[in-house]
Amino acid sequence: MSAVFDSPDTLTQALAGTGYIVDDELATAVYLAATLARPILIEGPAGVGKTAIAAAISQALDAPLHRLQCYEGLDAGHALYDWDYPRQFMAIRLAEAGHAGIDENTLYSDRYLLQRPVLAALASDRRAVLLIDELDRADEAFEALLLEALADWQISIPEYGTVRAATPPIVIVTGNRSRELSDALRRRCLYAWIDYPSLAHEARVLKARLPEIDAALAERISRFLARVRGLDLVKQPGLSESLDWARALITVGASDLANERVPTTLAALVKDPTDIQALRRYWHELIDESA
Amino acid sequence: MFSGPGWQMAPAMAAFVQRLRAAGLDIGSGEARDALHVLEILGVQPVARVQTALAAVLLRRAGDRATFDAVFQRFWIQPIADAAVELAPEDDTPTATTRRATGAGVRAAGATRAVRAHDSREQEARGSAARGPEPAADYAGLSAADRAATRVLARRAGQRLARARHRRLQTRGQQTIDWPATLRASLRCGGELSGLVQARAARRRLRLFVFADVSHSMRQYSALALAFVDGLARCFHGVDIVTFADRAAETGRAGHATGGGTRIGASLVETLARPGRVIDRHTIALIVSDGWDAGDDAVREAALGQLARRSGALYWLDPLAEHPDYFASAAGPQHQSPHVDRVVAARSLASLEAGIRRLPGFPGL
Repeated sequence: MSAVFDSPDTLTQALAGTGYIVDDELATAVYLAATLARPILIEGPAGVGKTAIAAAISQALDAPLHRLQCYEGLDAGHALYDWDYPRQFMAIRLAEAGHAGIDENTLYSDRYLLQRPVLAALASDRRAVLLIDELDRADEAFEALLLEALADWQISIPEYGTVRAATPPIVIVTGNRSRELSDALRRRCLYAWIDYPSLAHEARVLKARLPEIDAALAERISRFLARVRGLDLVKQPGLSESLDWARALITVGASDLANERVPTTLAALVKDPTDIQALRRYWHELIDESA
Repeated sequence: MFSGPGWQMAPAMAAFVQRLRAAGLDIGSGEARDALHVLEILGVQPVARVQTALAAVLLRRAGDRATFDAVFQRFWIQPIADAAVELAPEDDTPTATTRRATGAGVRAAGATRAVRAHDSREQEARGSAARGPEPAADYAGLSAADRAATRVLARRAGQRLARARHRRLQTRGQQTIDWPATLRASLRCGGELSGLVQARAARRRLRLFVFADVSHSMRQYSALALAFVDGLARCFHGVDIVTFADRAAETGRAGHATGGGTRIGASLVETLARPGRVIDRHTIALIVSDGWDAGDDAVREAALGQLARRSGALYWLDPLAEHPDYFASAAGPQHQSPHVDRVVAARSLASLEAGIRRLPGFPGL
């Protein structure tokens, strides 16, 4: 077995090089997934970095990233493979016009096979990263379609044959727990949960992703957000909102949260009118407590 | 810790996995094999990293982590000190759980009565004659095993409920053409269009809207009711949980308090008026409440009617329904509304299991 990363620490450093700060728990889980050649199911609230880790791994390994965004009604034709029916139809017509027969094997060949993300990742001639994003949005039946690909690294195409991965891709499956994923799929994956970041972790991420940010401001933002997440909000701000807000503060030139312009940037932090009202109601307490 | 080839750890790992299973975690032999493999790969590592690694391969749900950590601590770190610690029994059937829960409830009944004695606000609102009997304490003292059994029941129920044909989900007869299948059929006939292939209408996955009463009268039921809803919710495509109470209470999943007192109608009106809430015929509405309502009857009926018209079906989960003495002395079962499709008694796990059998799609649960 050829290890993709030498150790969890190597993976941590490689991801840090891309600006993705990962804690030891997640690093160990991803390291094991890559080493054991198993998919990893990552769940957690929205905006905590589930999707971003796939891009970071792809960048760290210089591997192609194939992304499958799941949605209700997603089927094999959009996720695994499909046949190029119009071109097949044209080929038949052309053959008929030339009074030539057409071989069915020709019709079902690479020329007419459309590779969707899962097949593209398996058929890649080098290690790829496959991101199956928000799988809980897809139907349960679609999960069953993925089982063969995720367990055996192969896809059986009745008209074509079995496509087997020469190098298993690193597969990141994410979910927001809007519904329960099947046990069959869970059993084929390793599991990791990403929660809202700790105060120190959030400050590290802000400094890593926004080199221009003042260290004191980054820590103040982290303390502020730790208190915001203690409020009863419709949607708690995640790490991505935290980064957006920090960028907004830098853009408006606010070097401290006490700046009078800061309340005008709340739209980058919370996305619900009730939450904006809640933040404005407790604004002074939040600012004082985070000082 | 864990030095040497992983297979030398096989007996210990088997025992560890056995402990995890006894604690209620669903772990297969494949995961146990992976765990051994992980020990081989990791070699000598700090305990915390080994714990994390084993969690990654053995667990499939974040909610199981606390149990895992506790068992890990007892098994690997304090094996002697905790040798006498009893883990949860393996028998997690609803019937067995009900028996245990009843026992726990008897122990907790005194404390429950004390709490109820201090609550004067709702008693005033209802009047002493409307208090009803002391509810059965089946749900009091909800243990981890009870919650696990509730989740199992909820998932079984949720999987059926999410697929059932509810009131507004009857076949509408609309047909669409499956173009890829039509082309495939055409290719099989040498390119001749022999006919249009009708697509099977795709069934949309259902959403769940839960309107949960966490007021004082639901105090000893809300934990299990919400645990049930939490398990149920995982089978639906989207979940929207709103709690209403005179005091905010925690829900198992994202939720927030609205309205006030036990005015179901007013709280529901406010909730339905909130912009951005999706309740359509692909949404199953579930009210979790004991039916006590100090509000205006007309407001409540109008709100229930609106909810019933917007949703695919409206069900009511009531912990006090079918209680032998409850309705004789109560102000009246507010869920006896023509807008409610079905009322499910949820007084205990057994009554809940019996009640959900009467919902659409449940004959063989």
